Parts: sequence; C-alpha cells; structure tokens
Amino acid sequence: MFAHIRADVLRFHRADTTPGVRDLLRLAGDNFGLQALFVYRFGRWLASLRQHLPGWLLAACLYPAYWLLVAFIRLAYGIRLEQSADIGPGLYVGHFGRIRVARCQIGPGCAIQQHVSIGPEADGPGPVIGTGVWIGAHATITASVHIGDGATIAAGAMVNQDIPPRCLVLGNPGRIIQRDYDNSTFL
Amino acid sequence: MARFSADLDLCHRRRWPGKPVRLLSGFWLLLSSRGLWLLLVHRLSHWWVSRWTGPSRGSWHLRLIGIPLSSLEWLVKVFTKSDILGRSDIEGGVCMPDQGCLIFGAKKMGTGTVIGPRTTIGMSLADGGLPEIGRNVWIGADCVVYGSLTIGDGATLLPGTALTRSIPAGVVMQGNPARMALRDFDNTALREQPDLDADAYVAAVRGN
Repeated sequence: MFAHIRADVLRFHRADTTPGVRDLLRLAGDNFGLQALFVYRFGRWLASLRQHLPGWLLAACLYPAYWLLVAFIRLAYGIRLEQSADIGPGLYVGHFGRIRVARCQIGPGCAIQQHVSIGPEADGPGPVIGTGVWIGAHATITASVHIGDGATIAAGAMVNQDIPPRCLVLGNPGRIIQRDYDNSTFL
Repeated sequence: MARFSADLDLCHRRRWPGKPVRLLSGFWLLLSSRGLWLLLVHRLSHWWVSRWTGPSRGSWHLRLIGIPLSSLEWLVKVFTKSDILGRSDIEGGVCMPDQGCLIFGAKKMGTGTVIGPRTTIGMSLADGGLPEIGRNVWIGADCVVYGSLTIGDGATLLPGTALTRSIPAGVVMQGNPARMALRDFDNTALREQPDLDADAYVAAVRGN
C-alpha cells in the first residue's frame, strides 16, 4: 500500500524535489483526487489483510471507518474509485465530480480527469488500460476494450474499440486520429 | 458587487420572467440557486486573487480574509461539485448551472452567457491555452470546450458538444467532434427560458 501511495503522491507533486510533510498536507488538501486515492488504497490494503485471522480481525474493526470515508468522498467530491477496479501505482486524478472507476484494470502512471467513467455498466470483464494512458475529461470507456500503453483518450471521447499503443482517440464514437502520438509532455 | 447584482438579475429573469427583483425574491433566489453561490464565491475569490498577485501580496489583512474565504470556497466546491479558476475574468450578468458539476477555466467570459450543467471549459494540456468566451453565448449540458480558442458573441453549443477550435459569432455547433449546424441563429429564447428543449428548438428553426 505505502509504495503505491508514494507513487500517487509523487504523481501529484510534479516536481523533482522530494515532498516534505508540508508539501504532503498541501497536496492532499488541494487535490480531492489524492484524498480519494488514499481511501481507495486503504480499502485495498484492508482487503489484502483478510487473508489471515489476526488481519481479518483488524480489517473488521477498520472497515466501518473505510465505509465512512468512501461515503464522504462520494458525496462531497463525486469520486467513486471502487474496490473492484485494479489501479496501478501513480494514478493522477485531475479535478473532481462524477468520476466512476469500477471493474477494470488500470496500469501504472495513468491520468484521469473529471466526469470520466471507466468500467462496464452491465456484466463483463471490463476494460484493460495499459501503462501511461492519459484519459481526458468526460471520456467514457464502458466496453470491454484493451487500451495500449501510452495512448491518449481526448476529452469527451467514447471508446468502444481496442486501441493500439500510442494512439490519439477523439470523438463519439471514438476514432483514432493520430498514431504514434506522444503524451509525455502533459501526462 | 455590481457584477453580482447583474448575475442576480439574469437568474431572476430566468426563473420568474417579467417580475421585478424584490428584496424577498432576490434573497430567496440567493439561497436556493447554487449557480449564484458559485458566482458569489468566484467574485470574492477573483477579487482576492487580483489583490494577492498585485503589490499588496502577503499583507496580513489579505491573509486574514483568505482563511474564511478558502473555507467558503471549499464548501461551495463540495455543494456544487464545481470549480472555477480564480483568475478567470467573468463579466456581470452570466448564469451558472444550479445542478453543478461545472469545471470552468476560461480566460474571459462575456455578459449574458448561460452555461449548462456537467460542462467542462478548460485548458488544453498540449499547449496550455485557455478559451475566451464572448457575450450572449449559450452552452448546453455535457459540453467540453478546451484549448486556446475564441467563441464568438451569440454562439450556441448544443448539449454534448466537444469543441476544440474557434467559432465565429452566431453559429450553432453540435456533436462530438463539433460540426456547424446552423448560422446566424438567435439564441435569446434559449438563454431566457431554462426549460426549453434546445435540440428540438434548433431543429424547428432549421426546418423553417
């Protein structure tokens, strides 16, 4: 859990220096997405604790606190990072409001924005998203598609096909506008 | 505060057309309209940001005002799920959505503009440019507008538009990516009547 949280904080910090305690408090206060990620990682840690008996007892005591935090994040900020999602280290959540991430796999170093909806609405395995994918505001990925490493989903795109690595996807329905697109400047 | 009273007038006109603003109705509107909360807090924080970046940066009274102001900002952010860039310059007499979920980061916005709920207006991360919105623009629900672009006076964005380039005055844009649906369109009815179905209205105008 702590390695993942560290990677998340470094993503939000966006500077070469190591963040101190003041930086950490400022980042967590300014970025509601980071608070939501803390709660999500905490929930994943609780789930991993349940494998043995003492951990199960500890998790049983801590789950009510987790539920309260999840309810707060959801009601106050409108961010839903559900436990069914498998999120890699270093996710960046920009802004807040109507974010839904459920039943999907997200690789390390991705970025999502406000109003993003990832995960199937009905039954299904859910989308698989690679490393370093940038997903813009209002993007919708509800189909069970595979998105390659370093792809860029532009704001407002609706993805319903497999995307090869390093592509720029735009529009509704999503079309590949440009191949070999470099998103490292803003990721 | 002159700007905010113009906002209140527009909001009042949209809710009770043809009625004069009285003390009681204005007060009730201020309590019940979340778009007005958003604008009020933005006006206050815009004033604060303009002072803070000016010569009186770091003065103790600005710091003192900043503490309750930032708590108020947080509360309004949470209750409206919206965020407005503090340095964006919004003229008086605009209307923000009461349903919230607005992320707003335009450089300038003109008077008479009406914005729908669940809209994002912001920076293009590829080049860092902010949009500029003209006067009397109507922006529908679920729109995404980003990049260094200019929206001309009296333009209309139908619900669900994703706009990435500049548009001239008086056009209607539609779809994702945005296409031009109509030219020389008068959007006064859309701006004054919040319950009008925009798609049907534009289709009816197009049919004539």
